Amino acid sequence: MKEYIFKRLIMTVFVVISAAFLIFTIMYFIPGDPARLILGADATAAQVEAKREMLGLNQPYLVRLGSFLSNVFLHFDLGTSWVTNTSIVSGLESRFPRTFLLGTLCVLTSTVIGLPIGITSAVHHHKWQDKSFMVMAMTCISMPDFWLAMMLTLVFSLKLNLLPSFGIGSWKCYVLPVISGSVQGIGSLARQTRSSMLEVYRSDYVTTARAKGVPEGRVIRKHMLANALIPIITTIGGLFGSAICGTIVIEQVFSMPGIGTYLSTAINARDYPVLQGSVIVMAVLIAVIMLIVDLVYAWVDPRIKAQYVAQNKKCGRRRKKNG
Amino acid sequence: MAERVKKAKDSSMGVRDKKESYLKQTFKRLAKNKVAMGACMVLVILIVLAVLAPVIVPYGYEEMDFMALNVGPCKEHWFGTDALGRDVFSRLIYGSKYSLSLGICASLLSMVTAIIFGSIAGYYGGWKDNVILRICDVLQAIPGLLLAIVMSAVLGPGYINTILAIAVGGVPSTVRMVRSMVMSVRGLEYLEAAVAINCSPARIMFKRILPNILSPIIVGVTMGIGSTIMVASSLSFLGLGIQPPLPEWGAMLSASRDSIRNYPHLVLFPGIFIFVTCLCANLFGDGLRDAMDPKLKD
Repeated sequence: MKEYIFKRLIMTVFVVISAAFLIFTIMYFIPGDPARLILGADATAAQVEAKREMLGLNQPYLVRLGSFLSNVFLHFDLGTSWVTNTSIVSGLESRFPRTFLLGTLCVLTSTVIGLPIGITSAVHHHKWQDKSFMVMAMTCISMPDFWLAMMLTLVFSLKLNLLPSFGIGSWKCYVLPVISGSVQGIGSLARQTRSSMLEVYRSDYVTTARAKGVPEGRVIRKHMLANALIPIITTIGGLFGSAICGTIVIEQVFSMPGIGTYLSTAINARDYPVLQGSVIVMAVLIAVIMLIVDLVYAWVDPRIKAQYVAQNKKCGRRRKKNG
Repeated sequence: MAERVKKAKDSSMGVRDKKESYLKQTFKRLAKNKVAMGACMVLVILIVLAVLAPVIVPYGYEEMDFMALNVGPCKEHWFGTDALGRDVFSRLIYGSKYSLSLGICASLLSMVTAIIFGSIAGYYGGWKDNVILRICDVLQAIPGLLLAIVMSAVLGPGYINTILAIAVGGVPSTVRMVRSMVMSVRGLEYLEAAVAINCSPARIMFKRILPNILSPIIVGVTMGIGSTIMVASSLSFLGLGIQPPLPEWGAMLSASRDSIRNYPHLVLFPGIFIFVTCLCANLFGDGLRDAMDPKLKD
């Protein structure tokens, strides 16, 4: 188990570094001179040259990549914004908890609603409950989250005046964003739960459990759900990723000051360091969540652990054979 | 005698029926699925409308009528007009060209790229496989929508750039799928035979292997078109991708955000179009999956 965790940690480090590398490389190819962009069109050539020297733009790609990576991962420094000239890390610090809270709430809502829907559909396979739930799930998946957010604002804040349409003043502000952010997750989780429940529905151990006279509720919870859980957990992990991405659009609709708004403002202002920093933070967050999901796997399903141990043995044997 | 001949003919017909091509079987099964056919019809209608837009639509997408600003739905303007007096219905029909073609082209582009690299990785193995897989790992470190946002911010607005930006995100997962499919057929006899008669690797990959693994790839890509359309409209909603005054649906939503209180019709109709298109693409993808691989159907 320790070995598994260790290997998984190494993988996460690799993912995080490659995310930073990828973002840096993409940003490297931005057309136009950053120094010119910062100083504006009026700056003289000498000023631009001085700025380039200051930003280290004259150095070769690999040197810049190295200093960027060491700044990010060793000094936790994401640079300063070109527009406001403030530290990006401090800007992200205050915004991070809001985005994290919103993403987590969205995933929780999706799980709490999507999971029972999927189970109910599987249990009532081919009956009207199944059919209507699946129509609902399909509708949910195809619903554009930003449009739903706008429609909810229109109905609940502008027409009915029940909930605020923007800000983060009270818990009420989170209701509409969470609903609009979790709808797609509900749909995909319900479909995934249904299909993986159906896979174990006719297996022998379920029949055995029923034959023993285990109550149906217990069969569903202990015998079916426990075995169907792995693809469901994968989906929940994936939902985290899409929820964090989804916050970009949703925060913008509800004017919530989170990382998403920070990012979309940066896009419109061509403030590339901020864009770079926010994307790296989001990618790191998602990588860490995926790490947790994978560790939960091993905890939930001893088969994975066993498989890993077996694989390791096989690799060892092969290595011996070759060596 | 004549009877016998007829019998023989019948039985040979029977054999031919059994050996109906895979494509035809798929088609027959698909045709039985009413929901998928309905979804397909809606998509076809949208495509036809998009192509014929200049002929059918009553107003141009940039045609402004200053006497009719922000008019609600009425007889002259079915879906009303926006803040510049442009007919929303006409703009939506013109816009279907962008939204649909972005979704389909980006999906096709990532499919073709993935088939090429996935086949190479799966067929050759070794260092080529390793390099391609590591590149996929790096690309997958950033989730699709984020990658699309960054790419499109760097590449700048424009039709081709947006297709590129959206397509990149879909490549790694499809490469993995293609690679594993290629590996699953690699040891089979017909490939050995192809090697034995000295087929070139490219011919083996694209003439022998590809047709045998194509159906799951097509299903995967079709199922992805709905979400690709969603990503495209999210991008233009954020101010990236297709730019106004071009009538992309996401851009139309974003432009009329501020007038949602007074003129909700400006927000309602583009959203319905995005929703219906995604829904139909998803339903069609589901139907296609069931038709191509009946085993998967529960």
